[in-house]
Amino acid sequence: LRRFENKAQLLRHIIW
Amino acid sequence: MCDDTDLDISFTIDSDSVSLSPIGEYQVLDLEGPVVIVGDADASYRVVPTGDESEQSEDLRELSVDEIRTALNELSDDDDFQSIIDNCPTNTPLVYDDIDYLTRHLPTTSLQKCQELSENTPFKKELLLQVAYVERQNSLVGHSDNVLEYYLEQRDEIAEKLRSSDEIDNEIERSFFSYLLLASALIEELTTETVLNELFREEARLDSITEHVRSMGHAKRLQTLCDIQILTGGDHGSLVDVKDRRNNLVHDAQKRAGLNELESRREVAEILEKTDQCASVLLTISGKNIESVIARRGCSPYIDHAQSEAIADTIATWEREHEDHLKTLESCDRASLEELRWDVEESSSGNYDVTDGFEFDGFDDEELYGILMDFLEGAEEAFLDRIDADANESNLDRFDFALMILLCGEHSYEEIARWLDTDEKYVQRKENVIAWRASKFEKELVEEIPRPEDPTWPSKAAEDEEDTS
Repeated sequence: LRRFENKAQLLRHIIW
Repeated sequence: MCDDTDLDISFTIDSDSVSLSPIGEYQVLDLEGPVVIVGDADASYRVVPTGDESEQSEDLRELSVDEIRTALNELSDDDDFQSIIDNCPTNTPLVYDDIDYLTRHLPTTSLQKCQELSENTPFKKELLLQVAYVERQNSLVGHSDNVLEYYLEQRDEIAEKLRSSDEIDNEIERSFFSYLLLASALIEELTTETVLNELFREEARLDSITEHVRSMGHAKRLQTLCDIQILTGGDHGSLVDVKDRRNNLVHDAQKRAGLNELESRREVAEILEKTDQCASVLLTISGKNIESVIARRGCSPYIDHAQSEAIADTIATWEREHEDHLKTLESCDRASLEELRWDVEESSSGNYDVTDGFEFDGFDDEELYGILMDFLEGAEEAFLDRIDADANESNLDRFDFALMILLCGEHSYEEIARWLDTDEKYVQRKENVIAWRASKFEKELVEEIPRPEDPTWPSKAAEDEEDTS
């Protein structure tokens, strides 16, 4: 499990 | 009791920079697998692969979106499920699978409850553990605990009442009393968490141990933190004052009626400022509010990494939300967007001191400068978010992570202790242990992990001070 602090962080990791 | 002077109240905790995500509804999305979004704050949780690629298989995403959504809704009031959450750790090592780790960490009784819940509900036991771990992560103060939010709201309310009133009336007394209760609740919660983190290793941090720490009593917890020197003597004294003031007002109706002989608005304001300073100390040493000090004082390799990621995050955001302005910046010969860096210490809101990525010689385009500053404002926010995420991801506790980044910046022990609201002796002790607690993740962030080199005898002045105290 990882926590992402904002939308860009999450989507770049997984580009909306 | 009248006091007509203009009141200038300055608080230590900056509500704009403290990491706040008030409790919100969960939403579960399907973005190449389940993603749990928390409230309106944009924070989210996702299971990411670990280990070798050869170990990964298609069923990594087997936990279905619908199952997680249903589990989060249905289990929130279940006592057995809550007891599983209470025993979950708050940080797991990066390289291990969560289920592998949790099944070893959780007490047998918790695992049995998990198996029974799985038999009596449609949910697999692995899903129950994963959802419990989401709940545990999200219940941390500052992630999604409303005490900090309520505290800041009450602080603003009493400050406003003080500024707009000529004297201490019943309304101010009530507001101050509420403020002190919330400040005490926040401080006690953070003190408990800090004692648990600093005195107990990960394998001992179980719910029964948390209860043991709670039963110690607040005075004993504060004394313990002072004894190990994470809390300075001065801060310990101030925290005991807050505790005594709160106890006096709670247990003595006469003292409560007169705010225990506070006679002027200025005196009340001073108590507010001191109490806020105490809460700020606990937010720092518990690792809850370390982002801004890392941003200002962190070592160069880490700052470069975090700003680089923040710029990439901001470009991704602007591609969707400010496409025209982004094109303007990208088409400007002076700008190399990916290379943009700024000096946090020399910058202020809306006015960023650019150190790389923009050629300013002969530049006088005010409109473009405004767009650049807007971009950097977004990047600054993404920068703090990135530090927050790295501190969460690190194998080190958040306070230790901050210490490591500052120690790598080659600051003096005394400076680091001052910035992190702790004692320089505690900084030195941490330096002894950080090197062997750090993992590959930390080593890649800072290039070289700090380690004890050369003896650190006390100076003559420090010896004299010890003798006279």
